Amino acid sequence: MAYLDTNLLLSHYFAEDPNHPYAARLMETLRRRGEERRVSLLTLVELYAYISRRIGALKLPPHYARLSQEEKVAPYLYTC
Amino acid sequence: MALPMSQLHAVVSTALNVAATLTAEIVLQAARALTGLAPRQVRVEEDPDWGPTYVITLDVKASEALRINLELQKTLPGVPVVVEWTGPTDISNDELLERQVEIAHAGGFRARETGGIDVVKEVTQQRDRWPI
Repeated sequence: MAYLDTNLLLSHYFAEDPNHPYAARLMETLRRRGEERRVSLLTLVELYAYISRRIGALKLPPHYARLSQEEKVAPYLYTC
Repeated sequence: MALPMSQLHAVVSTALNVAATLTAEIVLQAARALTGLAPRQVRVEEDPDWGPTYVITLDVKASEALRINLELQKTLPGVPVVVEWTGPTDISNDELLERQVEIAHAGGFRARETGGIDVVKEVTQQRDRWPI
């Protein structure tokens, strides 16, 4: 079982982060091995805090154009 | 022969318009093939960050529109396709969000950070502010 920390999830999600290639490789390895992946509630809180703070600087795909500002945080949590 | 900048701009602009029109036709045909219906409307919206976005309006309910949107997005990865519906919204808001995430993911679309990002620094700073 692997515990996934906030840093790893965010680096994996954002291709612009300097650690993205390492995070992406690690996540892919875990996926290939069929490793069980877990997150904690604290991690979800941190993800939410980070994304809601940065929401103005993020460019969401046009699929989410009709979401309210508050709803726009949700896709990240689903995807991370 | 080199073109003056103004002409070059016009040529590139025309080429991009032609490409967008052709892609809109491909999206329209794919939507017809998938649904068997003639879409009410297909329009191209220029998104400053994502380029031409193809918005299709169908006379179906939300769940069907999102299913078709997913199929279209799988068929056309990298081309932003958004399906709108005129029928009833027969799914919950949570389900709607989940489906939209699935559609964006199928097309290979992820949010982009524009202001420069250093996740380790940001998360560390955030943790330092929290009471122990």
